[in-house]
Amino acid sequence: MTSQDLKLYKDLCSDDPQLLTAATRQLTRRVKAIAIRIVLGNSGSHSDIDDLVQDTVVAVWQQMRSGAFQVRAETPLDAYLGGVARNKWLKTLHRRTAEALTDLNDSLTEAPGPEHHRLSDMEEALARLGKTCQQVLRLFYWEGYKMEEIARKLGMTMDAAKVRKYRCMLRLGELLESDASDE
Amino acid sequence: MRPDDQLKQWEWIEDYYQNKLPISERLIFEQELARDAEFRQTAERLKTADQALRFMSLENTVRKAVRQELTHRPLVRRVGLGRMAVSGVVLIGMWLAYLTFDGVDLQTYRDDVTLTQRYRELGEDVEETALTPRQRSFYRNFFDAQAFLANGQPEMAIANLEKLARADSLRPYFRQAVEWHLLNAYLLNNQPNNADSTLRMINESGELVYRIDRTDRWKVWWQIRWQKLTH
Repeated sequence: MTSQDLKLYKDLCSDDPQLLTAATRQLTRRVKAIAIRIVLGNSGSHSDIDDLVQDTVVAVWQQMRSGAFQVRAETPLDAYLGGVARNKWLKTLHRRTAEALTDLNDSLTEAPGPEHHRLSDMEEALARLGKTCQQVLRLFYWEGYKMEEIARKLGMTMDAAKVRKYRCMLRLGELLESDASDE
Repeated sequence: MRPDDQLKQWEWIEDYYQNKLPISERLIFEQELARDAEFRQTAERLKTADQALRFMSLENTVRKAVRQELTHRPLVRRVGLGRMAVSGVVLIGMWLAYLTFDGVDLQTYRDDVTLTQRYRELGEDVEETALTPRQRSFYRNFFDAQAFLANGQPEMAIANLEKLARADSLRPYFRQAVEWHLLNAYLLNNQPNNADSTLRMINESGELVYRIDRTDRWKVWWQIRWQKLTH
């Protein structure tokens, strides 16, 4: 892994949206170069490339973020990216031909989220909250609004908005807990 | 100390898992966690939700960045090669039209007019020591030629300028001024062959002392070729 790859890895693990965006765009360009070779060389067409790039970049980011990706000096990043993209593409091909997939290493493409909650579970839990809850949480976490601004937007006092946010979080935490205990 | 107020308590929990509490208060917080199961559950749920939301928000940022990068196309692909080619042809056409139909601007022409007009105004009052009769005759003829050009009478200007161009004793600046005006007059009078030989003469005369803009040189060169083609 080169020093540039290491910097890319660190930026991808960053919580800073600007750093993360720039690093993701860089990663996307690299993955795209690899994906073109894989897809066009293995029964795919140009229209398949973007989907594979999107899936691969998100999977790589999840692996890095969750710690499942181990930095190894002797392994070039492109080799790892190629491995993930190839597995994703083979899965797509298998799905298309409706064949059972038994020999692929899922650990390369699937990554757990925080505290082993899968992303799909988290999204599902969020969707089960009320609309106002989703709005408050999205404004705070997605859009980066401060609580004063959220209160003003929703026509509430600041304390009321904070209470709403914490109650929504408690409900979300409860839903995620019950999902985890069901598994 | 653990706050009594519910909202303050939630904020206290948030401060804890965001590492904002001082060490002494962290110890109190951890004692509360160990002592009160309900408080522990609340803290756990808030932490789980916060982590999940942060993760989803970052994942959203990643997806958005991938989409941006994938939809980002280089200018050529965005505009389309065909449109670029058409724009290029239109631009070249406009440039050729400009070279063909725009008049040649002899930049120093205005200076010449001012100069010759000054001498002409002096007329017969000018002292013998200021201008020789020969110089006075040169300026008069040159100014008249410029006036003919300005009035759209290039054939009259040509007669004057050809006479001036034949003079032997002109300084290089005035010789080239006369030649450029003559060349311009030939072009205005649709005499491309004469214009061409005058341009060759100017180019062969060595250092170009009469200042002509590069675009005007291109115009002259192109208009000579254009007139030869169309006549």
